[in-house]
Amino acid sequence: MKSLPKHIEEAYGLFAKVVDEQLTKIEAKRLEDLVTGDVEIRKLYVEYMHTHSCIHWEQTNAVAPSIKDLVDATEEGSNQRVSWNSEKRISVGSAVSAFNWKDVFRLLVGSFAVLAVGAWMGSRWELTPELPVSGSTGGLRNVVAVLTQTVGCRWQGSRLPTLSGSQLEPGNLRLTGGLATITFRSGAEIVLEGPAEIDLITPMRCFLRSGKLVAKVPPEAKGFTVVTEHADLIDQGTEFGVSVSPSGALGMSVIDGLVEVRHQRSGVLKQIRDGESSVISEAGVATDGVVLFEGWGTEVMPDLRRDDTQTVTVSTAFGRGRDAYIQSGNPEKYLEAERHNSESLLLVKNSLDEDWTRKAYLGFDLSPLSDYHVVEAVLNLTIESSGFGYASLVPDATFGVYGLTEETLDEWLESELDWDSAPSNLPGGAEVDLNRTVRIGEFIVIQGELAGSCEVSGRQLIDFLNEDTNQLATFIIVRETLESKVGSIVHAFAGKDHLTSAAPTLRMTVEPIVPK
Amino acid sequence: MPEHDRTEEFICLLARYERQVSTYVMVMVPHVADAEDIIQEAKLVMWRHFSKFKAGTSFLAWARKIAFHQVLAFRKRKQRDRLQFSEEFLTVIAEEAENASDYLEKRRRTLTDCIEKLQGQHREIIQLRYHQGLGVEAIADRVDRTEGALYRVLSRIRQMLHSCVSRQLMRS
Repeated sequence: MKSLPKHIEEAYGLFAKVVDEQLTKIEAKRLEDLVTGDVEIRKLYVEYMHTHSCIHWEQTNAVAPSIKDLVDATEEGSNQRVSWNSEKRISVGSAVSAFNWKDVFRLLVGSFAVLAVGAWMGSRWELTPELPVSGSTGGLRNVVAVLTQTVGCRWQGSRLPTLSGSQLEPGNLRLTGGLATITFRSGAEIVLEGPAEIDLITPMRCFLRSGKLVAKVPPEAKGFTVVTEHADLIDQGTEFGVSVSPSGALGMSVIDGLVEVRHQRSGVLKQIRDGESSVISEAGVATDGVVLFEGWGTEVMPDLRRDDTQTVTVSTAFGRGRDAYIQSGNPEKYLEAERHNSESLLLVKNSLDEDWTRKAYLGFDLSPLSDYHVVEAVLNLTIESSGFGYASLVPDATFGVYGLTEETLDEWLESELDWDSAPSNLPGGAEVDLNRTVRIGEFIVIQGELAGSCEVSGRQLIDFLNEDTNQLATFIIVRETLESKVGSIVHAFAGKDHLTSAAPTLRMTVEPIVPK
Repeated sequence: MPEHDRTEEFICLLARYERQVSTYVMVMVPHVADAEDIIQEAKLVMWRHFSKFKAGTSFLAWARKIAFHQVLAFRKRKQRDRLQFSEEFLTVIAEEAENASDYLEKRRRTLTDCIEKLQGQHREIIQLRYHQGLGVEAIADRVDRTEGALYRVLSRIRQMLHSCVSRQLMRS
């Protein structure tokens, strides 16, 4: 680590003591002098304590005690106080007079408690049909929703019960994975897709902090509102999808019906109709320019991670994309029926026989990404059956994936690609020219597996894509596992001309490159 | 506006801004339990005075003002129990935090990425300290270090996170 100027180093030492409660009186005085006298240190101090504070709130999943907790506390009796234990659940213990709760209660009981609980459990409450309820819910008084279904859900430190069927009071839910269906007492239903974080507020409101949800709102719950950092999405009897990134960027698509968007900062009210999408930021509500590529609809909208970060999928069928395979030896010497070629499949094999080794070449057109930086990437292939060879003659097979770094060779043509001229091809069954390629990774196809998909991802792939300068990327797929006897299976992957299966695809999360 | 709508409006505004208000308080009062008490009190005061909040004005600014007064009131009450910073110091810090409000929000959003980038044991230490709320002694035991060494590691991790966030924001 680079050494810091002495006074900054001293300041950091004092900051740490503040956080760890180790500061002496003399040190406190010194710190005050440093912070009030030096603008740079003051700035650092605020940032440092802010970081400490954010770690605390993020790690503890701690939304400081909510109004509901305070209401509950008022109902527990007067000589009590609300406190937090290490699990960050609200507990009510004996009085330790941080401040006088009796006064607080007196003020609250007459006004807020009655008002709030009354409002939340008012007429709308009585009119809604009974919802299926199970699980341990004894003692709950302010149920706003029921967790009606969970699929593969993983929760993080939630203060709410997270078993399917649980009744949910106002509070914060963090779903790290899976799908959770939450049915509000108003009748509105949301399907939350992890990772996501949401605050349940009332039977008619929730606050989506991050992640994705689809809301289905029946007519009786018209007005159901998904609150987000930058806008309120007020439903007018409809179905809509919302996606909020951790940065607060918001994408919304109306699947059916009408949603009113009330922008937080400007107060502007905008109507979004079915089939329309919108991107909402602190600056405003945009309804066009939402999609990155024509025809992709709003599929690029979900999975937003930071401002303007998008998920982009490019297949070998896109633009200047290509795919083909090469075969060793001279297949022409065989009869037509024995050539074992394919128009729609990419064949790959590492053969003991000099004539039957095959390697696949994939070309991707990256031109739409020229202003973007790739932050995540997955190369996906669909496994198909070639019908050629015996699966039992080759064990689980490892495939190596290489990226072509010699960009002058990127312009290969499908129709002209052959064993001798293919870029960076070498005679060995799994061999490529390592001076002109970089190893991206590997995947395994289990013995006898004739369907499904396989993928490669990781740092090497991301770096390879980011180092591209000609908007073309070539990958070479080789089978590293040699057959044990001649006649083994020819592995196959769907190519871009395959009628039913997905072509080789690069799925990338990208963010704009900001000019310096 | 009917009273229950007013209640909902308050709860929504609070939900929307409570993290910003909470971090604002903790910048002035880094002691976790104290900050939590202050935040609770501030929320009650906000609710009691919500009728005075003018719709269309900044709830965050209004909430921060209330929180700042609660910090000062808390300081007065606690002066004898624990070392407290001077009012002048707190005022300077509060001003800086308010001025840097947007920038600090960006920092908050970047922090998660930086925590993810921490090496395994550092992440574990942060989890034990912040998520499980363990004391330094207990963590030192757990990760087989001396208490003194752990204070240094914790300090280093916070410093690394601070620099990581600054670097990332500078890059973007």
